[in-house]
Parts: sequence; C-alpha cells; structure tokens
Amino acid sequence: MRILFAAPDRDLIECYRKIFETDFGETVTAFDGAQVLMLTASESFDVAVLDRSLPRIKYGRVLERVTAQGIPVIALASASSGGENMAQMPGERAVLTYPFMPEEIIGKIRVIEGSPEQAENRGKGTNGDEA
Amino acid sequence: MNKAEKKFRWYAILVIFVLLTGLLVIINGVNFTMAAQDADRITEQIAGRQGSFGRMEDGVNAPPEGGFNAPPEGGNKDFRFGPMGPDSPEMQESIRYFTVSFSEKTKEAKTVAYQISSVTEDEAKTWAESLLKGETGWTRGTYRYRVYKYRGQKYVTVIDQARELLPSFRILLISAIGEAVVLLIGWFVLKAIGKKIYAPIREAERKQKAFLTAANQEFRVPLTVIGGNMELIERRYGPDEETRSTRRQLGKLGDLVDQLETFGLNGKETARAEECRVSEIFRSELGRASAEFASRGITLQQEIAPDVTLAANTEDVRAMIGELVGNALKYALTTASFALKKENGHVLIEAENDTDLPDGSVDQVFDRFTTLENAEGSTGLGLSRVKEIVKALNGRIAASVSGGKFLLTVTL
Repeated sequence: MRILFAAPDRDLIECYRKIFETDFGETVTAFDGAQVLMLTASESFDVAVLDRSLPRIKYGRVLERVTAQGIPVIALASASSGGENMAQMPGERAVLTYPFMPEEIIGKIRVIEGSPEQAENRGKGTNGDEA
Repeated sequence: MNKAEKKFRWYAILVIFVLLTGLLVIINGVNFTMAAQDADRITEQIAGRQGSFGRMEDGVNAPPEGGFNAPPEGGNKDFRFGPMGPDSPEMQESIRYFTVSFSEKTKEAKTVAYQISSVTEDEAKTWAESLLKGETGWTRGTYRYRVYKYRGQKYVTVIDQARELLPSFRILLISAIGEAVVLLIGWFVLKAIGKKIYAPIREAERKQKAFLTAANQEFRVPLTVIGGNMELIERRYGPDEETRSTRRQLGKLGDLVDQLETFGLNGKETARAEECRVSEIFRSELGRASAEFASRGITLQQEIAPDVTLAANTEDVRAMIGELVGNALKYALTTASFALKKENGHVLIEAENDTDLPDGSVDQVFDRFTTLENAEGSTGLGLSRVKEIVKALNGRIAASVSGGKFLLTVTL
C-alpha cells in the first residue's frame, strides 16, 4: 500500500512515516499543497493523509485535485468536537482531529485498505492509472 | 463581558432611579404637605369666624378702614411687605369657599357662606353633608375641608385650593419629566463610561482567549508527535511502565486540550437548539459508564424519568451529562446516584455521590482550573464546563456537601 502523508510539521511527518512504512509499506511525504499536487499528478497512491492547514495552496483545491485522481483522503484537522473543522468535507473519507494516537489513524487507513474499492485497485496493481 | 457590562449599566441606572425618585418623593411630599398646612390654616381661620370671613363678631382682623390697601391698625408689616400668605386679608378676599351648617337636632342644612361659582348652593349642601363624618382633608382632588362645631351646630367649610396647588403640581410634573430625562442621559453616559471601564477587561479577555486558542492549537500537533514517537519506542523496545505512564499523561493532556476548546475559548457561538431527548441521553451515558462503576466497586443508582425532553443542542446536553457521570466515576467512594425528573415545567437533574469532603460550600468547583482537595491531578475543567453549558441553556447549577454526600443539582 502506498501512502502520501502531507503535513507542515517535519517531526510529525518523520514519526508517522516510520509508523506507516512499518505497517503499510512505502510512504511518501510532503510539506505543502504544491508538493501534494505535484506528487499526485506524477505518482499513484492508495491513500492520502492530508493536514488541512497545508501551506501554499488552499486545502479545498488540493482536496479537489487529489480526490479527482481517485485517491481516498483522510483529513487531519486542528479543531475539536463542535467546531466547523470537525465536519467531513466532500471527498474526504475520514477526519481525524489532533491530537490522535497512532492506532486511530492506522485504524482509518485499515478501513480504506479493506474497502472493496481498494481491493479492486490492488487487483489492477495501481491507483488512478485506469484512465 | 457584554453581559457584565449590561448588568453594570442596569444596576447603575437602578441606583440612580431609586435615589432620584426618593429625593423627588421627599421634595414633592414636603411641598404638598406644606400646601395642606396652608389650606388648614385658612379653614381654621374660617372656623374661628364661625364659618365666614365676613362674620367678625369680635372685630379682630376686621378689614381696615380704606380697604385692604392700607395696613391694619398697629401696622402689621407682614401683610404689607411680606408675601401674600394665608393670613393676609387679600387672601381672605380671594378664597373660593363655602360653609354649610347642620343643626344637630333637626339636621337642617343652612348656607353660612357661599363664595364659590363652581358649585351651586344645593350642590354645596349635598357635598358638605357627605363630609360630615370626617374632620379635615382633601375632597374632590383640590378642595380642602374642615368639620367643626359651634353652638350646637356642625359646620362644614370647603375651600378651593386649585390655584394654590397648581405650582405644586407643576413641580411634580417637572420632577417626573426631569427624572426621565436624567435617566435617559444617565443611560447613555453609563454606556459610554461602561465601555471605557470594561475596555481593558474586554481586551484582556480577548487576549486570554486568543492565547488559549493559539496555545490549544499549538498543543495538538506536538501531542500527536509524542504519541507517535511513543508508539515507535514501544515497537522498538517493547512497552514498559514508563511508556504506559507517558501514554496515560498524553491521554490527560489530550482531554485537557479538548476541554479547553469546548469552553468556547475560541469564541464559538452556542450551538443551535433542537428537541433533545434528555432521558435517552442520560440512560445511554449511564449505560456506557456502568461497567466502569462496577469495576471500581461503586454502586450505581438511577431514577431516570421517561420521555424528558428539552429544547437544547443534543451534543451540549450529552457533554454535560457525560461530565456529571464522569465526575461521579472519578470521585465517588462507594455509591453514586442520578435522578432526572420534570418539576414545574423545569428539567431537574441530581447527581449525588458519597465523599470524604467536609460539609460546606463548594461553589469553587465551577471555577476553571479549580479543584477540591479530593481531586488532585484533575484539570479542574469538567464541572466548569458543565456550568458553561448550563448557563448557555439559561439554567442553574448548584453544588453542596452535606453529611458525606456531594450533590450537584442542575435546573433547566
């Protein structure tokens, strides 16, 4: 399973890259919206974990482009319950609010990993290459 | 802060209103009392002359020769140079009055004096008869009367004091208008003053909110990183007491961060009200916690009335009940009981648990970051969060410790 993990905090990225690589396989990281768009345009991913506060390009635009490629998105938000940021935006498969424990995000990725859509993608060997 | 500012303005205007009204009541009261005293002096003089200024049998106070333009014999300077008071001869001439005598034997009414055009003689007699039971006082608003006896007859004298009372009524009217104007001006002045007084407090509150919101946001990612790194350490070296302890502390910090945010420290508006099923929420929260109560050896008692609903945001009510249950879970020694009922149109929630706290007031439990002596290690936010929610629902909350029982009462 190939994961794209994008967040502005380098420690966070480094820590979760190690966890994801142990649990799921190759994990590509990005620090801003522009990198995400560049990577998703040229490479394929099974899931994208995107921080909603990514700099440089508005999150809404990044989300639109990433979901258009058929990549399921897990959003990371800063606000807690009751806040507008907690609500799931169109295209997002799940939302996690900081702070979360590794098992929570691993659980979300596993749900996507086990979905029929992913099984189909795995059968084809890639994600987003159908077109 | 807006509420406190409004409260200050209302209290200040209330104090001004009470003081001003008190002062004006005293001034006008004294004024009307003096007017009544003046009127009584006139009726007394008429009574002394057996009902009429014209019947001066003993010659005392007789009009001086040459009319009222000349001073009386002996020169009473007050009449000439002083104000035209009730004793002055001119006043006697200008008084509108009538006197009716009633024979005590035959009850026959006889007009003794009639110097008034506003009533007929017959009306005067009827009017006087209706006053026989009294002694002195006001009648028909601006008329002063006196009842007295002379040679086996009862006399009733009625004088018209409308002219004399007119200045008093004017003062009363001016007082009322003046008070209204002062209150209106006072309202705007207080508004301006209030804004100035509360400006630094408002600014401090804004900064506090901004700081807490920023701090809250800044805590979130580091906590996630620490959690992730703990996971990596445990994977590499295996979990031990230190890593488990760190995880527990991480959990506490996570709760604190969530609680800080749900306080509305970032200025969120209260969520929209809806038909909230309180009974169901209560049962669900107690159901979720029942195993935890049992594992801690706490006997859980509940008396939840069915179908209790409330116009409120369900998440707020759930959070409030969750905090009440969580509080009992943390601090109950052996028993915890919960009651939900509807009383006089209000929703009443009672949460009680046994405690080793001494009897007394425990209102400080609702203050942010304040904990009681049995709550070491707590964030001190749980019950203050409950109070915030209760306040937002226009309800009341009270806490007390009595006879080894800690009781929280919420009325919504």
